[in-house]
Amino acid sequence: MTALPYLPWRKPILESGPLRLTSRRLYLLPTRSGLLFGLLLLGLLVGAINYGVSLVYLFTFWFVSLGVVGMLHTQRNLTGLILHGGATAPVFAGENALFHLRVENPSRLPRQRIGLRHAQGQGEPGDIPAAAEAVIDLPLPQTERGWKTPGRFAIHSEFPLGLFRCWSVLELDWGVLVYPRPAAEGMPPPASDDGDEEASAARREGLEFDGLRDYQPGDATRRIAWKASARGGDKLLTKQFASATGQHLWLSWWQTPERDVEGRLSRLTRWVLDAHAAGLAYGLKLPGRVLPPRTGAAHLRQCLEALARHVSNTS
Amino acid sequence: MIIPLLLVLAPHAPHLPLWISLAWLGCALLRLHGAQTGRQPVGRVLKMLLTLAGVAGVLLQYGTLIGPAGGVALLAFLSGAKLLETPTPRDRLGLLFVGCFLLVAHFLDRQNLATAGYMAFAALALVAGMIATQSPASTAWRPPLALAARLMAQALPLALLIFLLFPRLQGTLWGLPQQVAAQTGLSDQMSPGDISQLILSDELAFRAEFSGAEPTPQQLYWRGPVLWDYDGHTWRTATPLRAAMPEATGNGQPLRYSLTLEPHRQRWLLLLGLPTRLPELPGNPTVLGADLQWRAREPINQRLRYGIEAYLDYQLEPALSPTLRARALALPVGGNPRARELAQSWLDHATNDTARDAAIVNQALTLFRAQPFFYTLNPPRLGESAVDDFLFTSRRGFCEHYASAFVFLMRAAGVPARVVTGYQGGERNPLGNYLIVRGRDAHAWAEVWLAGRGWLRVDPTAAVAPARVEHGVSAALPTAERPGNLATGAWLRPLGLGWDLINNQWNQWVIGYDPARQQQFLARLNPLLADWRSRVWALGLGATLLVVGVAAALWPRQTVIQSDPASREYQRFCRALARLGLPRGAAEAAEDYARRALARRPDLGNEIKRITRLYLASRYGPAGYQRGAAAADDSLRDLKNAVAAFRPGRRPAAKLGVSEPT
Repeated sequence: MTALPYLPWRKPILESGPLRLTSRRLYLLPTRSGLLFGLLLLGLLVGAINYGVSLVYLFTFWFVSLGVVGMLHTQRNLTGLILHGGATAPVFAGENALFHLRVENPSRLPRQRIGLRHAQGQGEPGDIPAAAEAVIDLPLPQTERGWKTPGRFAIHSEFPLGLFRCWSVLELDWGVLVYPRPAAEGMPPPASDDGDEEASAARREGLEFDGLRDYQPGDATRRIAWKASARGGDKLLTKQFASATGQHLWLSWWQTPERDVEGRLSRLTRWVLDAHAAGLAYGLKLPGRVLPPRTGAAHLRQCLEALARHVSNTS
Repeated sequence: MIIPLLLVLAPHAPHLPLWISLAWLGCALLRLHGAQTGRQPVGRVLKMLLTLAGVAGVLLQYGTLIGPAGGVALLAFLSGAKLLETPTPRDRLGLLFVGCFLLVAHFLDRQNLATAGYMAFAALALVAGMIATQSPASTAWRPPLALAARLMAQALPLALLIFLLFPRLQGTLWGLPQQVAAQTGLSDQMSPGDISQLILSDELAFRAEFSGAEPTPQQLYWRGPVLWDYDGHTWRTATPLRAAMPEATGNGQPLRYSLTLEPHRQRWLLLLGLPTRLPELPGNPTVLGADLQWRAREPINQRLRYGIEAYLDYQLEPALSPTLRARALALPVGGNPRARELAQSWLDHATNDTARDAAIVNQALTLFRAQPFFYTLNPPRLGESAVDDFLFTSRRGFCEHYASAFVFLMRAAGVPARVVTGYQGGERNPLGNYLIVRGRDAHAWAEVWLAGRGWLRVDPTAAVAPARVEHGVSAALPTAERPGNLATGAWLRPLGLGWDLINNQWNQWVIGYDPARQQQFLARLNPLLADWRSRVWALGLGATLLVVGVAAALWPRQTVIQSDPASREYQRFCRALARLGLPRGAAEAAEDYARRALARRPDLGNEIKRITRLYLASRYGPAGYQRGAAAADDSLRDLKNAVAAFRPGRRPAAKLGVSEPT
């Protein structure tokens, strides 16, 4: 899948706001099927000349004119549309970001089968009724965290006959925040980060024994349920505590089992998501940034954004 | 996608081997079944084998994969095989292109109006199929069909322009296929019963149009094959006469007419009178024999139109060469003794040498007139001595019997004579002012050579049934023998004539639009267009103008539609305020405007604030982004109500006592 071509001296520039598609910025070329159709017409014409059959001439010319009229229809299908870049919801790396293009049709002519195309993917074509607007989606796979701009894309249409394709290459100032890809599930955050003091502090705050779970590397030694582990056999078990008033959980950069930057961010993302899902109050410690423990969707967004935008100055 | 292909292929089916039709239908059914169950109809290997088998079958049947017949069969089969796989949009388009090809291939066989109409409909279905390919998910057939009809209609003017102006080329790029089809119309020979078979046919033979006054029915002898040689049963021309302009002179004003001959797959051509000059037929050289028989080198497989200038009154071959004279007197050895005897008795009784032959001719005609001869389509079978049986026993016959017996008598009496076949008369179409000549107008007559006068036409049938010549065959036949199509009710006649007129126009302007006709038409339209280079220029210019015109007509017109209902309401509110002398500035924000209005009219403060707040909420608020959301509908409704209720007075309410600031 490649984006549609454009003339190099008409290189698209980054634009914002409503954009009107004039014929100046529309390209129009036959599709591969259109070229095949042209070959067919040529063959028919040769046949008409050879056999000297008038009706073959007539229908060949009818098909030729049909192609021409179809070409005009294809171009008018895009002409005059007004494009507005829409906001894009953040996604996690590895997911598809759905870019929305709000397309306004100020004319009385319904527009049909208008699609978006990008080097990395294309959207399902959509229709825009007369004097109305519609949203056309462009799903693009996101592989890396951070603020991502899609760059150039094309709005195109082959309606009605599929013999010609009309398109315009644009670059809108839209972007998407891509959160780090959450690490695989199964490793809960370490119960403590700063050793005994933190744990006893937690207990002082009214933590209650919640249950047992398998030991994970990084769990504080104080929390290991030695007796239960001895009874259970060859596995170590860790005591879990929960708080009725809400537990302050610190998710720290330095506690992740991974050592690489992206690995740490992935792990922290997973922990943030799990802590949010569990309804815990959690804080996030990153090099150069500390988000105090809180709960709620806004906090989650803040944490994920911090992770997504993390810039590492050490290795 | 299947339906357009079916429409295109159905008329091909009678010409295709049965197995191809069945294979195609089978594939289509498998496809439909597969579409319902959502599975591939057949495996890949099986599909490949089937395709190969089909190609081999076509090769065996036709011996070739190209050319009209084999190519159509191959494409028909492959289009079926392609249905076996789930096609991509591009495949679908490709299949429809094949449909276009198969559609046009029909016109090699048939070009009549009905075929063209049907094919236009099939083309419409193909185009609708192409449009439907764009929206694979949709199953509605009406919108694509409607759009296809619009496209076809918009394309038609340009198509006609190109059709008229595109330079037609003469001749062929490669060999024409051998078309094997039954000959129709008159043949090069005549045995008893041949023409009476033709009479039953309502089939069109040709149409003729006269530029001046139309000749009388008695003059309308359309000359076809001239038959010299008789073997006792069949008249034929064993060796055509040498190709030479006949020695003939015309008298009076020549008559101009044009003739559109239906293809009859034979070599003879029709003439009325003595032509001043032979028209040239494209790609088919012709010769005119000394006996005024016009023959083409190739069979007439296409409808042919030619214009002729000819003398109706002419003298043909005043001097007869000895060889021709011998041939015009030759009779088979033996047979028909009574006819020979009769002819000999005429010869014996003839006195004067110069008028002898004419007297003999008159004697023979008197015989036909005086004796009880009958004109009938159902003569009894004649025996070994056909002429004797006819003349003395049955006395019932049709034009070929009369012509044959007459020429036999003439030759037996030493008068050079020959049989001429062709058509006589025709039906005038008052709607188009031309003559329709059908199979039933076929006729045979005789020519005798008289010293000093040359060859003279003698129609013995006219002696027996004068109505045949004056009013056509149905008038001459006994009522019971009139063929059904001849006896049709009179009320159908105008309808039939109108239909024939349309067909004639169609033949002349569409089917018969060949290089010559194009040249003639365009030169008459504008002398400049006589040259093909200026024709190309005209084509380019005209096409450009048409395309620009269509483009302009199609261009989407911007309509001033305030698509946003919230803005519409707010505009109403602004207009109300403007009437109070408080117009909104061109670039004034809604909130600034509200503040300014508030300062002028504090009495309206609550309403102005409320409407501005509601407008901003429904236009820019979080709910406003989701059109159709319940919250958006609510705020929009509130806004509507508030604007509707906003009816400010010209002056502030007096009781508030707030004076207007100046």
